[in-house]
Amino acid sequence: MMEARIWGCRGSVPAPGPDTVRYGGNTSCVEIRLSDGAVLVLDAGTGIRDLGSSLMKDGVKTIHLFLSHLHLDHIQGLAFFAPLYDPSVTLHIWGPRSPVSRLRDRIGTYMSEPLFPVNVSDVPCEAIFHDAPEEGCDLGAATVWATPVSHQGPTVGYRIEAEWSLAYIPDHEPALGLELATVEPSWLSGYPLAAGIDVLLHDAQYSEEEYPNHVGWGHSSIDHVVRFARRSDVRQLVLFHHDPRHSDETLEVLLARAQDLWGGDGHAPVLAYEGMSLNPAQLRALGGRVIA
Amino acid sequence: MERAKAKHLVLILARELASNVATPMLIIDPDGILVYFNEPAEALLGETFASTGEMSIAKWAVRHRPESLDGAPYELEAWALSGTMLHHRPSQDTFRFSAGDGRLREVTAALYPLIVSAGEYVGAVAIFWERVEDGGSA
Repeated sequence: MMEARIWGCRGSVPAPGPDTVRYGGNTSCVEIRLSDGAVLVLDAGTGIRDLGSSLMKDGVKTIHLFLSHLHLDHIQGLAFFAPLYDPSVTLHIWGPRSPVSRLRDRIGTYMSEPLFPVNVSDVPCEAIFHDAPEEGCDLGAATVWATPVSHQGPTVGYRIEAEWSLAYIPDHEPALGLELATVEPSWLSGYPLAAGIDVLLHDAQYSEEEYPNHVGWGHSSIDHVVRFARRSDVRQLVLFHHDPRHSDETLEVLLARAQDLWGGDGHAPVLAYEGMSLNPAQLRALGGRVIA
Repeated sequence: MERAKAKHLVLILARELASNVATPMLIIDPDGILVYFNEPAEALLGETFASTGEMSIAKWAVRHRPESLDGAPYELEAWALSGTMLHHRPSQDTFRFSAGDGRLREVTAALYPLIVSAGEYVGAVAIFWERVEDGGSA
């Protein structure tokens, strides 16, 4: 069975410290292990550093890294991803298409002097770059789709279907300029990714009070993410991309608000946290009816 | 499992722009379907999007009968504005059409293609501007 593990779920910038120990301070990174042993990684935030050590310990030699976009909090850990420096590793890096330059070149603006001493073209592993699979691609036991979503700059979310399905939309502002409650689903950014999904990891950066001062910043408020998940018939919503200013206590207040907005039916939203496992047993424990 | 269908993000963003400006704007998908027009365009076209729904440009042309300023009917394929949909390049024209409220309106229209990476054409945006009686644009 496919299993997922969260290595980082903080948004914008790492937020270590005593106020964030329960949910973690590392930025976005999710590991997916497929039933055939294939390893997929969603984003290369700072959480990918510890994941890299784990993968090296397990002797994993082929990794598919899917980048949602290239904002720094989603690639900052890449340069510290141990498999990058192992010549026996093949690392497939997938990312959103850009109208102007290749994925390798765009990552190279971070992994090159003067920002980092190792150039992306000089890493020892075999790095292969791909456009995010908007037409879908089969990777062993799973099919992965990418779809552009509303954020700032080229950004995609991913949908992964195996024995159960997971959608990953860490940075997303679906409510920009429209009314989520009434817009037809075909006009809803991210809808093809989330429709009928078992588990949705979704941007939940702002409270309803904070959002009006952040319109157009590319993120969701708690009410937006709940409404988006409801419109998309999501079974289990996992609140992701926590604002770096939000302490553990603040996140739990936001969770209570999300659960209140969700209502009594279905499976209440939960907060993502570092170390969180998403597998059939864990999801059943959360109350999710995730296996068809 | 069949995936849910949705408009391309660039069309969604174009609609968001259109729904927030006072400029009459129409949005066309890559198959030549008029998928949205905003309230200022409704005033110009003399009908609401809610009443018409999506329609092909061919159907729109039958409905609104675009013609040159001297009254020559347009052939859709030869119309300057079709260049955007057929050849994915910007186009502009001044013409008149029968609005839904029965009035004949003269407009200058500009269409620009929406092209994303790898040259993929995902639709077009049309801006309509009504001409005033002295021959200029309002």
